[in-house]
Amino acid sequence: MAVTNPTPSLMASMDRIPNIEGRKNTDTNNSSLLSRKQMKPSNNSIEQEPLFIVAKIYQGIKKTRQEIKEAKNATT
Amino acid sequence: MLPLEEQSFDRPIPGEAMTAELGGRPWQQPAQFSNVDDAASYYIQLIANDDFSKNLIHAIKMNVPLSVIANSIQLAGVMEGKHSVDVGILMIPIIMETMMLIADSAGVEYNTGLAKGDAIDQDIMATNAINELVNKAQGENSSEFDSPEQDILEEQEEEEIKSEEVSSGLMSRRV
Repeated sequence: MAVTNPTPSLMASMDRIPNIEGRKNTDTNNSSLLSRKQMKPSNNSIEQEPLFIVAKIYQGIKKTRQEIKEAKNATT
Repeated sequence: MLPLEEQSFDRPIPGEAMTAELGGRPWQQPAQFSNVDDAASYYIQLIANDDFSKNLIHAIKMNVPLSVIANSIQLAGVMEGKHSVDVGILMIPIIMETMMLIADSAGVEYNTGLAKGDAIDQDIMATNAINELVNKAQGENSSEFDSPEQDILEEQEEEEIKSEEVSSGLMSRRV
């Protein structure tokens, strides 16, 4: 059985995850007002998921990297 | 008729002496970092360390793919009992991104190893390693270490001198 390297697919999946920090609650339904309380970060079960935490850290580092890259390009 | 000797199964398994007891290895113990947050901060601090980043940039300059380095780092973490295998797999993107950040900060070009054609080229790695060693040696002691071209030139000069010396004998013909 061939051993496959999971890294490329993992990185591709990470890049496909939308921006977490910039996301907004687009649900304007009145019925969601009750559930909105439950959508707070402390109560949101999705935000406790390891993959979510990893994606958040990953996007933070990526953002810093892009900023450094842009700053270097601007100086040169 | 002789009675058949009963076979004893109460013997050590071949190679048993070379194994450790269950729980005797770090990866068989409970992991040091049980969640992703702790493991991520551990790796970010590790990679941001000056000594580590120097060695990392050295490896990146030798065209070692970042995915290979990231896999090795997380696997070492599993072996040391820092975290479990699944946490290690989740750490790969963070490790890779942190390494890319360091490489970009240092202005070093890197090979991510994610594209299909980004396999490790042994020849390129060997050439880079040799060139680096030569440069290092030349920098440290330029007088003792000469390039192969200089060696050849010196050998040719020595041969010319010897041939001149040989032709100066009593019985030698003058040209």
